Amino acid sequence: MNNRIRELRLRLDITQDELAGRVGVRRETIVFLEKNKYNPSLRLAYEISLVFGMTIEEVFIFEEPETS
Amino acid sequence: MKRYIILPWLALFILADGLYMLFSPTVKNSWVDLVQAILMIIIGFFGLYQGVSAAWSAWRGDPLKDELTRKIRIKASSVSFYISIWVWIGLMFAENNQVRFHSGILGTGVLIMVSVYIISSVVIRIRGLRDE
Repeated sequence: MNNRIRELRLRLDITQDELAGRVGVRRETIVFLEKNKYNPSLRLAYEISLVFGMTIEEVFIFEEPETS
Repeated sequence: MKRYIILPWLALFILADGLYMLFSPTVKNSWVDLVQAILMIIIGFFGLYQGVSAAWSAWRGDPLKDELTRKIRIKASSVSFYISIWVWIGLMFAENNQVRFHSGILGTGVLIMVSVYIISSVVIRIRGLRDE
């Protein structure tokens, strides 16, 4: 799963700290999310999407695993 | 507030272990003792790092725990538990083959368990927690 958190955060002109504060997590969690090193819970994904005023599908991009 | 009492205790622990490494004759003569002392210092610094980062988070108003820190802790615990089972089997096998542990099998085992937990949590932080 990929996400557009960094792109949308920069568009809103807010820092990682501010985003973390708004969704009630540590800044480290936002760093992990932006680096695609962590898949958030549904609740956190929903709260992040609310901050950006978008749906979960618009912020988080689900990719089907490639089958060989 | 009481969670920060551990910070001076950890600083004293590191200081005592450092002095032990510098002045104890057994450390100079035995590499096992030296490795144990170094491991204890690493564990002490890890604890100190955790404590200082918790204090820093509290000062900034960040939550001390969130879903990522909980998941890292759970994953590190489960990985280190699995590895520790094999470590204990290895230690018991070694003891049965007349290997003598300077700190006793219990002390050596606990030291290895803590080290494995620290290594697991560092590796998980580096690799991330995708698709868990």
